[in-house]
Amino acid sequence: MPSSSVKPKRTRSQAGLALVDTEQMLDQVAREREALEQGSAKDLRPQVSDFLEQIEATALRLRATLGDVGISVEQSARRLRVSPPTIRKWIGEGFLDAIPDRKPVEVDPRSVVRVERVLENVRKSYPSREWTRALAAFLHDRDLVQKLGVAEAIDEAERGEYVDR
Amino acid sequence: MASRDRFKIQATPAADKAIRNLRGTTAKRYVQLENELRAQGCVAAGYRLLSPERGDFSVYCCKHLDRRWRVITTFAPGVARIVAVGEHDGQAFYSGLASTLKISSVGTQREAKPPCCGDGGWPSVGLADERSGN
Repeated sequence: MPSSSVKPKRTRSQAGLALVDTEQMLDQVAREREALEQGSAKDLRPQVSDFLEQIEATALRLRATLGDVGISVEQSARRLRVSPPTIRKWIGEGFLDAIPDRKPVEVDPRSVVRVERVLENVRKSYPSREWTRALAAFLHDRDLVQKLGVAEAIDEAERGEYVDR
Repeated sequence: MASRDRFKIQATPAADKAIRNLRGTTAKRYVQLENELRAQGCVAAGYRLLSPERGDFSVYCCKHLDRRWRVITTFAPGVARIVAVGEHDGQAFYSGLASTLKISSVGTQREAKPPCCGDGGWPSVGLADERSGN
């Protein structure tokens, strides 16, 4: 049996990156599906919906094949275009998720895709010369909404009734 | 409800409770804001907040009552909804963030805050279901 020329560490590293791409594909499918529901091109819905289902099925099989693999801090930094210390800080702050009990640290590909999407939206919403300012605005609003319990208040109101004033 | 009022005001139970506990200048400012919301809707509701999940614009607006007190609102046709009322020290938050993001705490406030209301009413920017509040 021929031995593989690819070293296990490298294989794992490549699998991690492939998983990030897979998660991105699934995220994109979810967004396209949402756009399809809101859009006006009703005639195209069945075909596009079938196509999205095929992509999703492929991505889910790929995810199952790749398994529970993460990417390194350095790979995450390159992907998100920030420095490795920033990635470590974001893990510490819970902005990115590290897979438990992995040494060296492995970042959860789903959280990389989530943060990538946040950064993309933040940059679009608040164009700024310094993207850190835009990110600061996002983190500020997230903190405000969490501290004031907006999600809990809405849940409570939807279970019961809004109070007329 | 006065005859000039164009908007009904509703509050979540949590916000209603918080409003009843307001005191002093903050309470007076809240009453003034509620009157403005009844008459003007989203025009009086401050700026649009970013979504905590995705970073695009959320369906919520934020109005500063005073240095620390904030009022979070959202809108439906003919209705201004008070979602939450509470304290948040934005200045302290940005100062804390300055060390983690390695940016100066001076001038880190965002350069532009889109108003809650746009020229065409609610919302000013981004999607907000099928709501129309002004």
